[in-house]
Amino acid sequence: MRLPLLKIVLAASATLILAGIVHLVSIVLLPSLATGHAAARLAQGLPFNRFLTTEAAGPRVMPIRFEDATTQSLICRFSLQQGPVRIDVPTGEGVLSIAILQSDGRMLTSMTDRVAQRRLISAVIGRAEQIAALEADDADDDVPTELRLSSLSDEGVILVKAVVSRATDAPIVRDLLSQARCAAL
Amino acid sequence: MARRFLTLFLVCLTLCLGVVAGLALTRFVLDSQRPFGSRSLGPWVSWPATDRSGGDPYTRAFFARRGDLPMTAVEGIAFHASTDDGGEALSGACVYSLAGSVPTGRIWTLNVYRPDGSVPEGRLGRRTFTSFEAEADLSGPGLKIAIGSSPQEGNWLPVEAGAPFALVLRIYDKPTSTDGAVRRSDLPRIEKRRCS
Repeated sequence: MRLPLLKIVLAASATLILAGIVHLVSIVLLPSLATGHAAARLAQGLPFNRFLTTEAAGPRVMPIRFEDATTQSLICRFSLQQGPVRIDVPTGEGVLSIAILQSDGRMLTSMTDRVAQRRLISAVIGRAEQIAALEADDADDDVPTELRLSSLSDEGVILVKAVVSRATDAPIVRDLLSQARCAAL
Repeated sequence: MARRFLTLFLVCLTLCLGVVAGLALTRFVLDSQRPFGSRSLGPWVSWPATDRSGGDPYTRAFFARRGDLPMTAVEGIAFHASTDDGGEALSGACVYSLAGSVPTGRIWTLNVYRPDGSVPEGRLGRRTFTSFEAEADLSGPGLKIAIGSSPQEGNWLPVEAGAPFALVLRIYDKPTSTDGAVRRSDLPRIEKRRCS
C-alpha cells in the first residue's frame, strides 16, 4: 500500500511545474479575461464615435482607479464596424495626452501634445484593411497630415486627458476640449 | 486495485494542488505591496517598464486587475506611496511632511486617494497639487507640502481624518534621457510629524 518515494517525488515535482504553468498562463490571460480593466470601465454604456466629457458620461462609466484629479478628460468609445474613426484634438499650453485602448484593455498607442502639428493632433484609427484602403487612395505626392493607426479590435476607447496646471485654468482647458472631435470617416 | 486507486488519487491531488498553488501564487504576486515588475524607491513605487503595450505581462495583469490606467513612458512616470519613509501605512490620524526634490518634467501633480484608488469625497476641499501651485511659495523646483486632516501652515493637502490614504506623484512629459535614472534622492521624503 505504501507509495514508493519516487512516485511522491514525481508528484511533488509535477505539482510545482503545474503550479508554475498555471501561474504564468493566468498572468498572461488575466488582462483579456478581466472585466474591470480601464477600457471596460470607460466603454460601458457610452454611445459610439463621439467625445463625451467624464462629467457628461456621468454614472454610465465606472471611475478609473487612481485617476489624476488635476486632469480634465474626454472619452470616445469607437467602433470600426462602419469604417475608420478620425479624431481631431486641439492642444494648448498645458500637457495633453491621448491613450487609445482596445476592447480587451490593451493599449493600441498613447501620445502627448508633442506630436501635435499646428496645435492639433489628428489621427485615424481603422482595421488594417481600412488603413490600407486609405493609403491606396492617397495621391503619390500626398503626405497624410494625420497619424494612421491599425487596430486589432473593432471596438475600443480613446481617452484624452489634459492637465489643468492651475485651478483658474480649468475653463480654458474645458473650452479647448470642447473643440475635440471623434467621428466615423 | 488499491495501488491503482492510490496512483489515481495522487494524480488528482497533483493536478488540484498545482492549479490551486498556481492561482494562489498569481494572487499573492498581484496583491503584494511591491508587485513584480515594480521599482521601489523608499516609500515610492513605480512601474518604469510601462510602455505603449502596457509593460511586461505582470504589469499588464496588475493594472487590469486593479482597474486603473498606468502612465505610459510617453506620458511620463507615476510614483505611488502608501507608506511613509519609516515604512508605516499613511493614516489620516497623522500629519506628514512631504518635502524634497521632484524628477524633472514639464509638470508634476500630486493626488491623494483612498487605498482602493477612489478619490476621497466630502468637504475636503483641495485633493491635489500641481507644480505650478506648490512651487509658488518656493525659491526653486521641488515641493513642500503638509498632509493631514486639520489645516496646516503653507501648502496643505487635506486627507480624511483617521482614514488610510495613498499618494500618487505624477511627472508628465519627463525627458527621455532620465528613463530609469530616477534615484531615491530625486523624490520627496514622506516624514511623519505627529499623530493624534
